[in-house]
Amino acid sequence: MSSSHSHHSSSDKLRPFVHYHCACPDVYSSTESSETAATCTPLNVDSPPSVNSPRIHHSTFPLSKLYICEDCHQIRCPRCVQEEIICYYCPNCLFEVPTASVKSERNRCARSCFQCPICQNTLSVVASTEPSPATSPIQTTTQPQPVAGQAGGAPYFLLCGVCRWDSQEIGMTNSRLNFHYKVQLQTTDDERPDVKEFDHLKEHFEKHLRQNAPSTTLPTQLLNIPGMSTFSSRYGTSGLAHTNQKSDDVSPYEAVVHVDDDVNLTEDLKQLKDVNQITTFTQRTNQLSDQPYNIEKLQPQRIHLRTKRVKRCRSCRHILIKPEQKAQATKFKIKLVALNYIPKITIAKLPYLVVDQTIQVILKFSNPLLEDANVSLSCPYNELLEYDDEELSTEKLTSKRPASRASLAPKPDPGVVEKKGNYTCIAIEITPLLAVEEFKFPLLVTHTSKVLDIDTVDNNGTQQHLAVPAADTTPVASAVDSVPVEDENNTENSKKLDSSTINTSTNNTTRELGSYKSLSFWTVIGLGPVLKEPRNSEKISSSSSTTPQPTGGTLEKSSTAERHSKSSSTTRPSVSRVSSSTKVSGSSSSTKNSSSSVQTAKPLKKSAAYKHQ
Amino acid sequence: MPKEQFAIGKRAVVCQDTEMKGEIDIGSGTVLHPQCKILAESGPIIIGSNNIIEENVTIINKQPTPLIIGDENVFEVGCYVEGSKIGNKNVIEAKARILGNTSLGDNCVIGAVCSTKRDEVIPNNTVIYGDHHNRRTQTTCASQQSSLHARHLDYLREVLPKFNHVRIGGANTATESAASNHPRKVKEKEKDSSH
Amino acid sequence: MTSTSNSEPTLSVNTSIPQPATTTIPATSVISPSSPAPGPTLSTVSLTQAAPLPRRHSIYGTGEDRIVLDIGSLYIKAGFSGESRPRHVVPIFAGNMKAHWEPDLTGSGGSRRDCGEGCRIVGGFSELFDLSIGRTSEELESLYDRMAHYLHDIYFRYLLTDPKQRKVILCESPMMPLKLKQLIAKVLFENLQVPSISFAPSHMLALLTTGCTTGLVVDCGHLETTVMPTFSARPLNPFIRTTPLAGRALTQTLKELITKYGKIIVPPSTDRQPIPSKYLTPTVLEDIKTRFLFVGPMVISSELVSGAEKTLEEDYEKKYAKISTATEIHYPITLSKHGRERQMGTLVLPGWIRERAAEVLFEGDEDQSSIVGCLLECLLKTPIHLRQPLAASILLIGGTTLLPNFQTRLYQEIILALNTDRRFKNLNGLRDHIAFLEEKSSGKVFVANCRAWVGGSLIGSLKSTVVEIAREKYSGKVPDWTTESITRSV
Repeated sequence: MSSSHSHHSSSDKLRPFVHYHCACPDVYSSTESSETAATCTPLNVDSPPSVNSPRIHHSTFPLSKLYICEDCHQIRCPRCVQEEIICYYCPNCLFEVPTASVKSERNRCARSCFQCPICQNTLSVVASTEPSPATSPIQTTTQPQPVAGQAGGAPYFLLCGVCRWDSQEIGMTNSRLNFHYKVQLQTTDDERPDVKEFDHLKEHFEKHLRQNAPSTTLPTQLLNIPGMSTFSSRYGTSGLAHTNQKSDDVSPYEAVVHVDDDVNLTEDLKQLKDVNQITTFTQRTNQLSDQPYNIEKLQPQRIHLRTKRVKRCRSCRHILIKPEQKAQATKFKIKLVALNYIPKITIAKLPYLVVDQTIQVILKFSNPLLEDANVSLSCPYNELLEYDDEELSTEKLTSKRPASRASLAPKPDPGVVEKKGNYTCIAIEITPLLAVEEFKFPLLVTHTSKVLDIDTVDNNGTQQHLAVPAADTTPVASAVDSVPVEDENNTENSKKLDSSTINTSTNNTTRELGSYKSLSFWTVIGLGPVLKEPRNSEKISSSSSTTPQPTGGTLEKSSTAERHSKSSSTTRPSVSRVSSSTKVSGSSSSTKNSSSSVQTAKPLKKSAAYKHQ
Repeated sequence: MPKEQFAIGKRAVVCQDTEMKGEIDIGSGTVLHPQCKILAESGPIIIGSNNIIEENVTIINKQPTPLIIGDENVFEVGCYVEGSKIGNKNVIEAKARILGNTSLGDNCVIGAVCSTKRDEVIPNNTVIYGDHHNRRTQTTCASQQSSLHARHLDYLREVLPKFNHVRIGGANTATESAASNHPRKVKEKEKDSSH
Repeated sequence: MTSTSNSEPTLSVNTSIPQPATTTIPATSVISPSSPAPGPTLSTVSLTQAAPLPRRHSIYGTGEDRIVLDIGSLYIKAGFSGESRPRHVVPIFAGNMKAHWEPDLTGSGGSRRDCGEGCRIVGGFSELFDLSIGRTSEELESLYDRMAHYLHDIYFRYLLTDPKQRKVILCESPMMPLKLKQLIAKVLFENLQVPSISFAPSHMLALLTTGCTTGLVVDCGHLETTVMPTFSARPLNPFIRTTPLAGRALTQTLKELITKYGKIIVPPSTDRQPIPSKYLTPTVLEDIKTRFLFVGPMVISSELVSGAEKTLEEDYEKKYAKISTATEIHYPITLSKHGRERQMGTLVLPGWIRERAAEVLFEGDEDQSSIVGCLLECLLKTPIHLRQPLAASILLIGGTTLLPNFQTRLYQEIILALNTDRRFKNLNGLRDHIAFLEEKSSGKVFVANCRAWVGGSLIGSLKSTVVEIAREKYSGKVPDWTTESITRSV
């Protein structure tokens, strides 16, 4: 995700990122904010996410966290999946705990897995006496000696490898290797004072309830939730015992245990010398029954279990993620992750962002699919330059943030920097206007790919092709080259992508078969801080001139790319096409039919064309 | 130019690849892995016996007073030691840093990536651990570790010379030992050269 | 059900558990079915109850065990009903969700937590909600996001249970903003799809844990202190009094005091310098507050030299710095962090700050009464015949009351106020009757910050029904005591 810009390493507070936005559409039935899109055609463009609101942090995710539902053909984020637990296991011993004993063991491991009370790392069982050196050192095999604990003798105790705490400090040793918590922790659950008191209280109130409310359907005065009194009077039925009682109060209660306050605590705190004697709040919350201040009162807790969960799409209930049942297995039976479907956008090159300096940012789109994919980009903060016109006036301000002004070149090139294998690099020109902490902008990406039917095989299989990068010299491509671009510049409400796709569909050859599925999503791209002064002036100037593309020819084109950035005076968003899947002709192709590796793309393409599944 | 003088004790295994500068005295039984650096820049370094100094460890003495390292310490990979005195049986974990004039007692543990402050005296049995360099004191349970340590040392002394060229004691031995670095010969030479 | 005293491992016992969901009342303290009981202890336990019965723990979600949640502004206490303490106390004060997905690279003192499968929540301290909630809809939405996130975590990473199976009991303060209630209900119903929710007033629940049904409950949390009287299990809502002097005010005062009078030692130098306040991150302050502060005994004013000092801090310093005998401590704090290298410095915290920072809670003015003032004003409001039983049953709950010596000091302050303050002249007769409930009954058997939760667990485990809002009937509104009737929800 973040790129290879080594000169940014010092300012590692705000790394550049590309996050994908999930508005969680068609998940909630109740009306939500304006962010949720109606479930209309995928070509409809959502309103862009407001990059400055705090909500953005909850609704944008790195690509690794997203799932895709094939039936709904939508991205699913961790918020809009439903989870169900299928397996409980202990993270230390990887033992799968049967569901029945999970509850009785209070979600903790029952098999002598403990965590250090001081640093919460796992404790290991250690013998306290030395094993006898059985073999002489010369005869040791290449393996070092086995772990001491196995060879040593009793008494055994627990030792933390990180903070070197050991249970001998609290007097907890065992004669056998297995530390059972009930024996070791020396108070069974039922002897603890709070448990005893709680049960006594429960009994007390139960008794009162039984006496005062012969019918269990009535809420009693005891459980008088505020507002209930009116309820019961309003809906009072006969048989209310409390109407003719003098006092419906509970009989006086006698406590069963009494725990005194630690009288020495204040004095000890007053004379405190060493800060390490007092427990931290985290340590205390691990031992909620008494939450001691004194570090010697802490006891090791059993390790908390973890779960394996199945994730489902909320709307269509299909399973997106299904792990294997075994705790040790890390594979998945069903793994519908977005990483395998939507293009991966990374920042390939990011120079320093300086106020009022136009720089070029290169984004790299990689296609994980076997088929071609078409990606369209648009940015709401774009300012278009017509061929000859000056900048268009603003229509609405969608961002209060200082943004940058785009400068578009009146050339119909989409500014593709490099196309190779299954990825394409796009150059975006940005001119920041203000020095901000973090420069973010949204980018709408529409991803269209062909979903092949089994029996339609397309020989030349051009998928849709839209505006074509200049580097590509396919005849078909160039035919459609100028048309869409011009079109986009002239459309009035170019907010909609349908103009562009309509264009393409008219220009499509009749060769496509199967259906095209289109998916559009917003991404938020953060580029790090914007500096006031250039750090190193020559770096800036040189960076724009060195772009990693093969030929010098494309350099110009990319430098005059129509890629957009933001402007405070935002006009209408422009639609610009990025790559197109081109025909089979041997040019270095764009987001193409390679499975994963770049190198195999070309041979595959030539031989088997687009017969991929 | 500090005089280059290494005194390597009996049964000590010092790999050829180490970078050693200045007056260094290595005790018996100590094992130095390859790629470690012992730089006695301003003053001598005296390393005790039965230590294990692993790869990429930098032991620097920037003061004129000698840096005295005790016995049976373990310096794990990548640590940086600059103190003034180090006791016995300490464990200095990977990438730890001992800065300045710090002196370390016995039986301490400096956890991974932790560092001490400059110029402090760390008492015996201190453990520095965690992300926030927390400190606490540990009880002594040394018997377990000492036998493990001895076995570790034995293993290293046996295996390291099989795969690394080993220095032998004496000044400027780098060129000499290059010629005769067969493990067995090295061992014999070690037995011969005694200090 | 058989006593499982001599049973072996868990499995054999639990196979006998799936009985129909008869609501048999478990007598009292039960031997949990999995105990491989050591002999002697068992017999002592069995003496205290009639017939040992296994606990009514059903993992099959028959609804016996409800989830009890106490959602505060800094911590959420969560657990199952029928248990004597919450399972988890989850801190929820990481505000900067931007760093939710990124490793912790920011500066000193950020609180780090794994929020799930490798994510980390970092940094900025901010309470989950503030008292003035819901001013903008965006704030509410953002709160919705956070709340959904935390509650999801609580279910799937801490409690490890399916939300659809178990009903929920929520402990709410009576002053909880309505919008917050609606939001919580929305998250629980829409996002997690719980079957039903019940709201219960936390003061009354806390009172139930002492076995008494009459008392004056003082809840001293983070955002505010609330005093509510309850008589015969009826919460007397009209007489509630609140003051903002609570945990947050204490933290603020602590910060100002340390900034002014604390010192820092930045290695390699050893001299003490004044502290730039950027090192006093909220996490550091919270740590100091929970560990090293305590409440000093009351100082009679004749010993104090109180002049007209300009600021509160100077006032304190003048009064207390010389007479305090508390030791100063050296507290390590992070100065900076680059990658994995962390520079540590030492904060020198004077002892008198430790002892006297909490004085702010006991000093009030017209705008915000002190805790004592709040309590006595509440008593003034209540009808006369109720005052004595209420004053004789004071219960302190909430995290801030965990400061050592808090209760004793409060008692001293109450007596002083009754004797000297003109406003409370009418209450003078109560002077001899002031008593704390905890001393009379079971003492500190339940820790004060969990008492409300324990009360919720108690009513969740009782047989009778409580008012519930079922998911099918949920329409976005929740009932509240401020509405006339339960049918008219807000």
